[in-house]
Amino acid sequence: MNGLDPGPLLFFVFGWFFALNIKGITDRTYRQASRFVPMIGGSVTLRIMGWIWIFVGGTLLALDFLG
Amino acid sequence: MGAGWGGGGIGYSITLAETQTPDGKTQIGILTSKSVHSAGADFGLSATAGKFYSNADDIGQLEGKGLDKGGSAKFGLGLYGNHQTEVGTTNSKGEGVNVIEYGLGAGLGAEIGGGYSDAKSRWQTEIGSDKK
Repeated sequence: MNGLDPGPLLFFVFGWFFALNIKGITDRTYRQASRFVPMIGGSVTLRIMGWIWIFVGGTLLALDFLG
Repeated sequence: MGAGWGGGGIGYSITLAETQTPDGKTQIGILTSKSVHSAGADFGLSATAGKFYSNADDIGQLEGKGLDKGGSAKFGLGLYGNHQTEVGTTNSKGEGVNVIEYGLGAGLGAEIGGGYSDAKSRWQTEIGSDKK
């Protein structure tokens, strides 16, 4: 894809969905997982995961564009 | 940080690595790695922070193909660990290059097994360089 790695872009885009709980995706993922395994922490841990995806994915995208 | 789908699954991870060169300089780099694992989560999502040990003395030695053995369990919060043998790569002493990493993650999914990964250096810098 013109030398652009799609991996960081996917993390950056999907990170927003988890970080901002868009369409309730974070709560729904957490509730669904809780039915099968005992989850540690609340759905906030999945939101933190989303923010990390945005930060790291965004940094790599910026490096791609600057480099 | 990774995401994987499927029985075993395909993963993508981003790692911040630090190595010491034989002349005492510190190299810091960001590596991205695509992986295929033989057993593991049907559905996995995570962001992890951990400690990374390696006998590599140049970031470039961490690039390329590696064989993974490890596991993780993250149900909200959880732990992960991995040992990687770099294929066909030696350090300045002629030793085979290995990586051990472990840490804490936020996410979902469980995995134990082995796999194959292919890493690429995205960015690196050197501290303590002689350049003026």
